[in-house]
Amino acid sequence: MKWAMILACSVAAICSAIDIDFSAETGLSYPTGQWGKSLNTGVDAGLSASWIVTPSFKAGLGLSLNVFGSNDQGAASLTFFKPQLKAGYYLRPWGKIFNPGVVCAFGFCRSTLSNSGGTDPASWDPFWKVGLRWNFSLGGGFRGEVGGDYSSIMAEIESGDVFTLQFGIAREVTL
Amino acid sequence: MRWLVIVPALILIAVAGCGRNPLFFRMAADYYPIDNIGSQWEYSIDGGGTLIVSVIDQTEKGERACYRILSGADYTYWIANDGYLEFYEDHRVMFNGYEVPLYQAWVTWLDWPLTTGYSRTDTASTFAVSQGVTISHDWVRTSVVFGIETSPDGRWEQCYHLKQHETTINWIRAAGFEPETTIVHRDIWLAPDVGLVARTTADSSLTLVEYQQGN
Repeated sequence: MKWAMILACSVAAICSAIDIDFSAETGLSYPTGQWGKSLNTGVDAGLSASWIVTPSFKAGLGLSLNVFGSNDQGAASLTFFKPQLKAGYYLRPWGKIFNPGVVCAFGFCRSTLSNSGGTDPASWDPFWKVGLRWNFSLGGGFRGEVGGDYSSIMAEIESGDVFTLQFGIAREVTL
Repeated sequence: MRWLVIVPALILIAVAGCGRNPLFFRMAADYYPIDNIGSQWEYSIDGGGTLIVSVIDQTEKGERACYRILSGADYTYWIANDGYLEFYEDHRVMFNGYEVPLYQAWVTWLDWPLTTGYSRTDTASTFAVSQGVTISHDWVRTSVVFGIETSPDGRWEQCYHLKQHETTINWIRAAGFEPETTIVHRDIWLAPDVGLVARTTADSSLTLVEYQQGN
């Protein structure tokens, strides 16, 4: 009976301590390097859920999608689908207006290229991402974020590097 | 400790088993680099002979700036963009000892980036009047990327294998003349940052022997 009480109290304590940060991000992606010469600026969108380990540090899982189109009104499109592990460290988590931070992610990217009725074989490659953030309060329990990411898809022979301007919104939920 | 082995092993299996290919290398490469003046391709012709193709200079054709290429004894004209490659189509026919121009226009040859299964079709239907006789001209060219392959001589990897089918029908609208149909099937291999490395038709075959990049 004593063990059951201890177990129940521990579970309750752990559960009450779990704070999850749900966020949605969108942005504009710019290919860096020759691979993007026939592509236009891309659009990025992502969702993530992160465990707030400490007020400054959070880590979690995310999914993001990038789409690029032709730069000449052509029919080409390049799509990235990226399941990833994410982590972020913020310097002033109490800051309402200015809470700078750094984020990083590692995961896999599925790249698919299509043009004029054709599709190249999809490629699954590891990728990494680092970025800077300016996090701020939006009120009502929501926080906003702007920043920039640099990511690299480590494909065979040549990597695909992308700079992304990010805009995000997040809400902290206690489970 | 076991996880230290299992997790990297799973990642390695995922990476190895998930169909990696040099997609970004192909996207970064120039599959028809005709925008370097002085570039030269030397081809051996199956059955004997050599064909030299050189980028001569920049000039103007059809009111547009373009690259002039000497292919054997003939000039061809190309425009290279990041998004597409254009070719100056110059279709002529001989009639009663006169060369009659039928169709002159810039036509997109390929759109970048190429992909497996890529397809484009260009057509023209026109006519010209020469010495009081109408000559009609119908032309259609279909280009399809068949796949990513190594060139037939095994020398160049990550080539796009392009199949082109071109049909031309010239008809001199006068008594005693029938429509004259010409059908050409070409298999073309384009290598990254080199361009055309092999081309086969029903009656000829070209293989790149040497490529020198210009300035």
